[in-house]
Amino acid sequence: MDTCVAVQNVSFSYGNVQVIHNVNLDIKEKDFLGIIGPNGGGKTTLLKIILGLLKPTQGDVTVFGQSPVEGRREIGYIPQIMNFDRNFPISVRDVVLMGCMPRRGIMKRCTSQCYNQSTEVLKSVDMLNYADHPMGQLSQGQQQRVFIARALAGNPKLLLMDEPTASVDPTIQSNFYSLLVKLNKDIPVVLVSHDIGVISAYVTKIACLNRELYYHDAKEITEEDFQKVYGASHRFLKEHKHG
Amino acid sequence: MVELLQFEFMQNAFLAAILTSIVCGVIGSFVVIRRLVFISSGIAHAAFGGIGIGYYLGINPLLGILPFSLLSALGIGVISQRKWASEDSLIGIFWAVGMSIGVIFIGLTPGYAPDLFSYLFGSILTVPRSDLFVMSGLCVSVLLVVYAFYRPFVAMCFEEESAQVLGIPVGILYLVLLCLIAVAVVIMVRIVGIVLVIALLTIPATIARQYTHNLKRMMLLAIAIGIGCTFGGLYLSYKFDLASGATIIVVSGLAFIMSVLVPKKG
Repeated sequence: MDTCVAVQNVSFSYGNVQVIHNVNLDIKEKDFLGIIGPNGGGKTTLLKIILGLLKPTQGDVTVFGQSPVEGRREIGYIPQIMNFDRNFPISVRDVVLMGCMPRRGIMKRCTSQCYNQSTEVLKSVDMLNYADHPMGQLSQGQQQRVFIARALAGNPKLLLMDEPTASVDPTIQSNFYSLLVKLNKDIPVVLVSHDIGVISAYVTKIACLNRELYYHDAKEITEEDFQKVYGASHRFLKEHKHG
Repeated sequence: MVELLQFEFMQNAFLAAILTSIVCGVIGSFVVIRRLVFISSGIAHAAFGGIGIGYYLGINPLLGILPFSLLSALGIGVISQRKWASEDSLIGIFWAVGMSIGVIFIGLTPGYAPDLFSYLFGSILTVPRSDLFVMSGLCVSVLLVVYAFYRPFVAMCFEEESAQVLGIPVGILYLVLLCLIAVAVVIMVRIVGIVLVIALLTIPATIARQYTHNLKRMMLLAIAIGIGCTFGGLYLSYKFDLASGATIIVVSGLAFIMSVLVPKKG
C-alpha cells in the first residue's frame, strides 16, 4: 500500500468559522513531509482530524485504509512538548512504556518484551543513559527525543509530530533532525510547524496550510502559493527552491 | 499517646485517620498532578446537598452524600465534555446550588439538626464503628479501581490527546477519576468536614511531590505524611481541647511550610 493517509476534500469549522477549506493531501510511504503555515492557519486542526480527535465537517479521511479512530493505532503521535507539565512525577522509562499500550491493550501490565522494546527505542534515540531520570530534569531537546521513543515503542507505521521546537542550540537541532532523517528510512515522517526555516532544510516535501492547503507532492512551492499563505513576505522564500 | 487508645472513640478516630490518609495519599496525588484541586473542592461543597437530603429522609447522611457527590462529579464532567459550559463555571454552579439544596432540606426537616456542624467542619471523635465499615469498603473500592486503571490514568494525566491516540478512552476515564474524587470526599467528610476536605487531598500530596519524581512513591509518602498529620492533629486537639478537624489541618499546614523551608535535593 502506497498511501498511508488520504485526506479528501476536508473542511472543518468551529461554529461559523471555517478554519480548513477543501483540503486534499496524500501521505505516502517514504514521505518526509513538512506542513507549514502561520499560527491559526489550521495546522493543529488538520493534525487532529487525521488522528480522529476531531471529525471533519465535510470530506473524508482514511488512515491506513481505515477510519482515523481505527487507523491511528498505526500512528506514532508526538504532541507539542509545551502540552506537558514539566513537573509531572514520571521517569523517562515509564513515559516510553506508555507507548506499548495500543498494541497490548490499555489494561495489560508491562511484560519483559515490552520492557526490552523500550530499551531498544531509547537506544535508537540515544537516550538509554537517561532511562531512570525524571522527565522534568531533562532539557527540551532531550524530552522531545523521549517522546519520539514513546511513539516508536508502538511500532508505528507513520510518525506525526506537532511543532518540533528542538531547542535553540543549532548542534542539538541538527542532531535532532538527523535522527528524524534516520527514522524516515523506515517510515514516513510528518512535521507540522509555523517555523518554515527550521524544517525546510530537512524535509523532502512541503505543504503550506492557511485555511487552504497548497501542495504539489514535492518540496517546491510556487511563489504565488506562498504569497497566498503568508501574505507578501518574500524573504522567507530564500529558504526554498522555486517551482 | 498510648493512654489515648484505651478509649473506643479514640481507637475509631485513629482508624478513621488511617483510612482517610490512605485515600488522600492515592487520590490526592492524582488531584495534585492533574491540577484538580478546584473541581474537588466543588464536588465537596456540592455534597452538602446530599447531607441535607439525607437528613430530610431520615437516613444515614453518608448514604445521602454518596449518590449526590457522584452525580455532581458526573454532572460537572459530562456537561463540560459536551462543551455546554466551561468546567470552572460548572464548578461554581454545582458548588452554590449543592450547598443551597442542603440548606433548604435541612430547613424543611423538623427539629434541630445537631450533627450538621460536624459535617461542615468534621468530628473525627464521634465516628461510629458502623461508619468505619462503610469507609473501609469505599476505601478498598477506590484502591481497586486505581490499581486496575493505574497505567491509563497516568497516561491520561500526563497528556490527554496523545493518550487518546494511544487508545485510552480518555473521556470515560476522566469521569471515573472524578467519581473516585467524589467517593474520596464521602470518606473524608467524617474526618475534617466538607470545608476542609480539600486540605487533606492537597497538602500531603503536595508535600510528598517535593521529595520524589516517582508517582507510586509520591502516593506512599503522601499516605505517611497524612497519617503523621492526622495523628499529630488528633493528639494536640485532645491535649489542648481544640477542634479536631481544624487542628489536623493546621498541623498539615505547618508541615507544608516546613517542607518548603527545608532544602531538598534535585
